[in-house]
Amino acid sequence: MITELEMGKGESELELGLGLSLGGGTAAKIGKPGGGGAWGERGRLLTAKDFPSVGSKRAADSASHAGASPPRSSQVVGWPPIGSHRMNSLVNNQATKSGREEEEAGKKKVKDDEPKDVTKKVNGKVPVGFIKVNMDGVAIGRKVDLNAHSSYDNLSQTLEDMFFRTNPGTIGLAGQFTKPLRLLDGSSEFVLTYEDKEGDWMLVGDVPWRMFITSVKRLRVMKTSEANGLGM
Amino acid sequence: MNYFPDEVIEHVFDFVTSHKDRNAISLVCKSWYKIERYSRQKVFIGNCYAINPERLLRRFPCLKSLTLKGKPHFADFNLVPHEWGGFVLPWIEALARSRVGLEELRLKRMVVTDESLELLSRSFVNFKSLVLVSCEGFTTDGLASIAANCRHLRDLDLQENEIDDHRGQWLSCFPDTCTTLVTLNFACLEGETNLVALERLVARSPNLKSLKLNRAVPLDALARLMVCAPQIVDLGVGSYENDPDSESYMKLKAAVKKCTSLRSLSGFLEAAPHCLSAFHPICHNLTSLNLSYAAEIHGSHLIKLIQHCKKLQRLWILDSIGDKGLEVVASTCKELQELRVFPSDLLGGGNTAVTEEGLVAISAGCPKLHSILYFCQQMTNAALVTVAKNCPNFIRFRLCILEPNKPDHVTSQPLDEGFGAIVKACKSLRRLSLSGLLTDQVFLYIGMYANQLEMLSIAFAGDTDKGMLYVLNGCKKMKKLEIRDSPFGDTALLADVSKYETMRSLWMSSCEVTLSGCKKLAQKAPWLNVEIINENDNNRMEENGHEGRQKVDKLYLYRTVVGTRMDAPPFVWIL
Repeated sequence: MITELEMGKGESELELGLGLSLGGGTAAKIGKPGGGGAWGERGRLLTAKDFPSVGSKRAADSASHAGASPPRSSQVVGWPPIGSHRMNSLVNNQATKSGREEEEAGKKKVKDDEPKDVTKKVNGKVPVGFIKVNMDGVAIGRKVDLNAHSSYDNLSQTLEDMFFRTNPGTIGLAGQFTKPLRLLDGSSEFVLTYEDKEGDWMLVGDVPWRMFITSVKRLRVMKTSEANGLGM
Repeated sequence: MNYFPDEVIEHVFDFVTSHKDRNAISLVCKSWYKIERYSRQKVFIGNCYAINPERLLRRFPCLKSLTLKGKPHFADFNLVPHEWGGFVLPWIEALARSRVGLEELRLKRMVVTDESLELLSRSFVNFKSLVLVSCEGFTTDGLASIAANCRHLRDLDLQENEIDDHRGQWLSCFPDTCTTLVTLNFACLEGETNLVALERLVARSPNLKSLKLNRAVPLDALARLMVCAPQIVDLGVGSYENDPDSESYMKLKAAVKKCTSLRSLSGFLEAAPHCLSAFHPICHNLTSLNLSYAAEIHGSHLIKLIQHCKKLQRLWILDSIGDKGLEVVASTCKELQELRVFPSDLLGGGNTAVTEEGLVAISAGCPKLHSILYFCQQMTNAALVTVAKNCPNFIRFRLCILEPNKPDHVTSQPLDEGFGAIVKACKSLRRLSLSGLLTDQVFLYIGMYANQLEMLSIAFAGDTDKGMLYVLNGCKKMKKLEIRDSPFGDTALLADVSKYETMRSLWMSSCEVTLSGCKKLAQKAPWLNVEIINENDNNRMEENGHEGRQKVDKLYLYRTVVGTRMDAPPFVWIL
């Protein structure tokens, strides 16, 4: 009956993440982590790990997949029943608050010798939620729930489903990209970038996932050709 | 009434304004039907797919005001996929073609594009009022067309929409000759605002009564705006980050004192916790206060403000006010009719969250309370029984215990008896939302006692099909039933197919209904659109061998006089 909750218990974080993709949440949507698997069918968004020269710290990211935490009310899709507009506002407020707390914590840290994981300063709670995603060439932006994702792979998958799914009924969303991108095999026309709290645009994938979700303000799927100065 | 000429009857009908009453009038006899339809100016359509614009216009050719609702309610919680439907463009195109004198358009949960807004702005010379609630699909370019082309615009009211902000200059698109604005609400816009254009616009709008700003309007601009518009009745503050010693703040205080007509206050989208005291001088006049977006304001400041608001009828607040704060509300706001308490922290119980005690205090202190939406961490049957005794006049009772399936935290029992007491006592109850641990028993009570119930929201509740059957059999006035994650299946769904003709719609997601059950229903009820929404696997249901027993993820059915809609996306399967 309560499929989302049952699946969540004791499973890996990735399956928890399932329940929370936009409007979704059924078992069939499981995408396997890493590996070509579900990605092989389409092209994919490039992230920092595709650019070894950038010196990605993604090893830290995979290590962060700890055991599952029990499902909270915020991890069931569409629950609690708060309008998405209000939810976003609430979550942005919490992010700003924790951002401020981080800053203050960061100021204290300067005097400290030991480097501590910044995210731990906020009691392990990382308040995030829906953030905007825009794609070059698509008029209307979308929103993605960061709470629903546990890794860059996860996020990439969702964004690909959102913008590249070959769906003839799709209006305005990457409609012109109906050809499956498998032809592009390995290289892709697009790259995933984000705007952080300071207003800088960065390539997604450089920093550990947890740090990323505390600092990301919005995402942009950018044409690779335009992604200059972002470590290409 | 046959000996009265039509004009006299029509004049009498002019005094009848509610939709229900006008609908009733039209059923009396053919002559009244005819008179009514030609004199009808306002039409409300609760489901845009129940009818089409052509038939609407054939019946009501003198239409001036149209209200349309699109997506089902659960779309608010992201349960309805993005491209499901609810497009307004065909409606606007049809209205434009027919040359009807449209003056007012109110849309809720519809997909609105810049193209539709542009067409709207150019097609109706007397267009006056646009209200968009929870809509999406448009940008500030669309707003620019409305601003530029609607010469007699009175209301532009944007509530909780998803608007792509192109950081354009839509505010400067209002021509200098536009002086008719009464309502301007752009609080949901995320981008920057041209403050100069805004101030000029407000300064030349002497009739402006309602102004709701977005977060990009800082305090000093607010002060200047209030000076320009001392006649304001309804104010939505944008950003409220202030320094109490600053000149801006002094100016604001002075300006607030002059706004003697101010009755409704909202916003504080980005607020520093201090200095709400600037508004204390006008609090005694306030009838409506919405601080549900002001996450930064601490409970103590909220309480100080509310202590001055003795005339408050409507209060929307965050649970950071706490039970103690609600007790202050209960002892201060004796005129309170509607209360909404929203959660401020979704990550886990904060100490200041509200409990059943706050709810009981409110019910005891506010005799006029008739509508409540209450998010909380815990509840007990005893509290609900007390609330029912204190407030038998509830029209809307919506309780959301944040953790699904949570029982009475004292007795560990389901909350059946508590909700049962509510429906038994509140004979005028029209809307109910359930939460917490609930068995079939609560539905027995609802079917037995909730005679006026029109809308029921069920989540994670019930044990067997009996639960749903109690409701379908008992609630004669049911209009909208929405159910998620509850074990109701085909037996309940198919028991009384004709019931759905008396309802606007039924939503069932993550329940036990199967594809074959839905197919049977569609066969028996050709007047229904039975939609299966299956976003993830486009054709999995058809290809699978035992498709009949396949559980349907999302079912949405509604009565309609115009058959299957043509604009459904591929993942929506209309049986």
